[in-house]
Amino acid sequence: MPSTFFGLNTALSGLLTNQRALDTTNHNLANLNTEGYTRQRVQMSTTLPYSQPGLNNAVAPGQIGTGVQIAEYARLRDAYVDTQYRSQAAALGQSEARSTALDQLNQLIDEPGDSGLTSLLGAFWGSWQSLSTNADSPSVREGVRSAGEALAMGFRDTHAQLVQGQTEASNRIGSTVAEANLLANQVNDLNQAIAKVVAVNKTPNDLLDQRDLVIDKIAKIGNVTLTPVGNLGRVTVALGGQVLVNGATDTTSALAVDAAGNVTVGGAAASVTDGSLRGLIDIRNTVIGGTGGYLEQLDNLVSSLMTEVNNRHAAGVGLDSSTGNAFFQGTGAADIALSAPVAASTDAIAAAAAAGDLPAGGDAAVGLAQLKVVVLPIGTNSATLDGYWASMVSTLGVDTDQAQRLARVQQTVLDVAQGRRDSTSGVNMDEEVADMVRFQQSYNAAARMITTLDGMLETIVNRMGMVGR
Amino acid sequence: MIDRIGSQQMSRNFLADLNRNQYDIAGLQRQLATGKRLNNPSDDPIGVGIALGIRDDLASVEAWQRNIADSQSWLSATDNALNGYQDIIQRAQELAVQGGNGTLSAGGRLQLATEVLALRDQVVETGNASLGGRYLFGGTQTNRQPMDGSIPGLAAPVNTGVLTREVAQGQVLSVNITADRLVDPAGATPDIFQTLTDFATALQTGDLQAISGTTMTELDAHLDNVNRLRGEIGAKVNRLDLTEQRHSLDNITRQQQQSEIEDTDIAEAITNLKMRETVLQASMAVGARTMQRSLVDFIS
Repeated sequence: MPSTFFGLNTALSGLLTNQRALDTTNHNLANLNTEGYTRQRVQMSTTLPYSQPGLNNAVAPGQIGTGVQIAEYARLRDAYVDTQYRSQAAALGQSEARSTALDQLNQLIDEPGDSGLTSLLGAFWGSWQSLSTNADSPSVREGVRSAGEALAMGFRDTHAQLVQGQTEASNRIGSTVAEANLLANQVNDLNQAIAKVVAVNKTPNDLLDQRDLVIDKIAKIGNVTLTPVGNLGRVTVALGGQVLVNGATDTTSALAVDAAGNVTVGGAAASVTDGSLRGLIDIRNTVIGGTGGYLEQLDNLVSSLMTEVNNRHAAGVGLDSSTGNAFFQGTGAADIALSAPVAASTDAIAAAAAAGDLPAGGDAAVGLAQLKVVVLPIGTNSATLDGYWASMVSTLGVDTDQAQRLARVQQTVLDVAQGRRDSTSGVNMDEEVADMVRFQQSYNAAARMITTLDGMLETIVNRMGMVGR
Repeated sequence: MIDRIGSQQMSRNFLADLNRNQYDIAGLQRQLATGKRLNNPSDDPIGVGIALGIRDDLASVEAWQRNIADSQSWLSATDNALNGYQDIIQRAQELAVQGGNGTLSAGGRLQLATEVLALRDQVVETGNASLGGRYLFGGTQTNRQPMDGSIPGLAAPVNTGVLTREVAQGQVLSVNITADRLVDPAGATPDIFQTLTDFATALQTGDLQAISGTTMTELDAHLDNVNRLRGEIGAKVNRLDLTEQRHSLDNITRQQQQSEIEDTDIAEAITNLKMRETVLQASMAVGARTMQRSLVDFIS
């Protein structure tokens, strides 16, 4: 037989549990806009019913419920969606890094435009055409010299822009590596904090959220894999196959990238195939630099241009009867400039084919102007000089366009993954408000229950045994 | 299937869609503001490749057109000079007819001889014709008078250089006639100076046979020569005219192509812009309605 006061405890458990549930609703609403927050639920369960079967049972039919208790503060999260989200984040990180860098180059080269290299090349060839008709005119000679100077400067500028793109990628690689190492330390700290809470049999929901958020950030940098370690909630985080945060030993290994683009974690070679780090390294070491990169292509173009122009120029004779002069000098796109004789005097510009043709002979100039349409072996291709540049521009355009498209697609895919994650873990305000109402009503009902019980006790204590008074 | 939506997700999706719309609108705006469909290589990589090729072609054609204009003025100045030279020879022929028919007195012949010598000086003058300070018949040595008035004859050494220029892809044309070709026709005929000198001497000595014989033959040869040269010039002028016409047509075609590839189709761009604007406004209106309402507003 339960005691007279039995119901008070049941009602009290209802009061307290619903209060905790309201507190959790409160927490959820407060964190509506917290990045990485996972909604929490109070899982309620009945307390042990009264009474247990036994030899000397209290005499009562069946069992009677004794109230409600909190089984768990559940964190509603789907680990599978997390894995999906992180691999998409890595893909987006890569294509974003790539498209940002390429788009910058894409806008800098000013093609098709009036100050791009196509226009400069056109002006250069055109100036030789003019020279062929007016080889004895100093002003036309000056025109050739300034067109040559403008072309050389155009190549140097383009080269400088590419190098600048590389430098920027380098800087961003540096800061990305620093960020990854910092994040690794944070994961390590959170691992230990989580372990302490789990050890005393509690669920560290908010710490888990923080750790997941930090891991999300690492996932954007490179391809990560997570392995749970032990039963205290620690994880081991590997970047590119190499352990970055070791959950078993509570240590981290340093991520590093060398100038050649090799990635190491704690000295061991890691294969980072995804993420912003990959994108940046690609830009620096294969797209702009490296074999077949833009810099090499530009150098190929410039050295072909210098060789061919110089050969034809050296065969001609200048107004000062000098012959064998180069028109350009330099080692490549970085330092192409007018040769010393041409820079010193326009008379050194060779328009005539032979000394006897001075001063109006323009055969050498005609030959030089015709270089425009000559198909030359440049790098691994055969093209005219103008055509080679146009194909470089096209390549850059295709690369940029692809990177931008890919980034947009990846963004959409990531949005979908984020949506799925939100669907499970995101806080819905309406839902919480409905819960608020629900829990408040339960709380009110439990309180009313206590009032009722109080009334019952009042009857027993104060009104009973008062017959005839 | 997503059947539960986080509150953040709604605003996140809304912002993502809004951004996409605004990105598209910005692209269209740039197209309309610059009038160019291609502003960067990535806008249409293949189109940019073609557009650069067209620009290249246009630059070439422009250079050739410049060369042709320059050549035309050179050729027409040359023709003018040749015309003057032709007049000189025709006058000499008249004098030869006059001086060779024997009715003229010795004094009259001496007068004619003076005129013949004056014609010889005129040859020097014509041969030294120039255009913009450059001697037309000087070969590649355009800064030296090709004829020496004191000899009179060709200035030594004779420059026979040709002035060449490209007027179309691979088509190189020489535009000048050198002084030696002017005064010295092919064959056994002596140069014009010698012919005129001999003519004057014959007039002075009364050698009528030489005048109506050798001198007439030689002058005929010189007239043939100058006619041939003028024919050559005329042929070149015609050829350049045709080439120029071709270039002009080419230019127009290329510019059309360039415009088709590079320029914004205004009607299309504005239609697209309007469409995006409508979508943008709709999405903003919807966002404004859904995002500010929640259950909180309805529960007291």
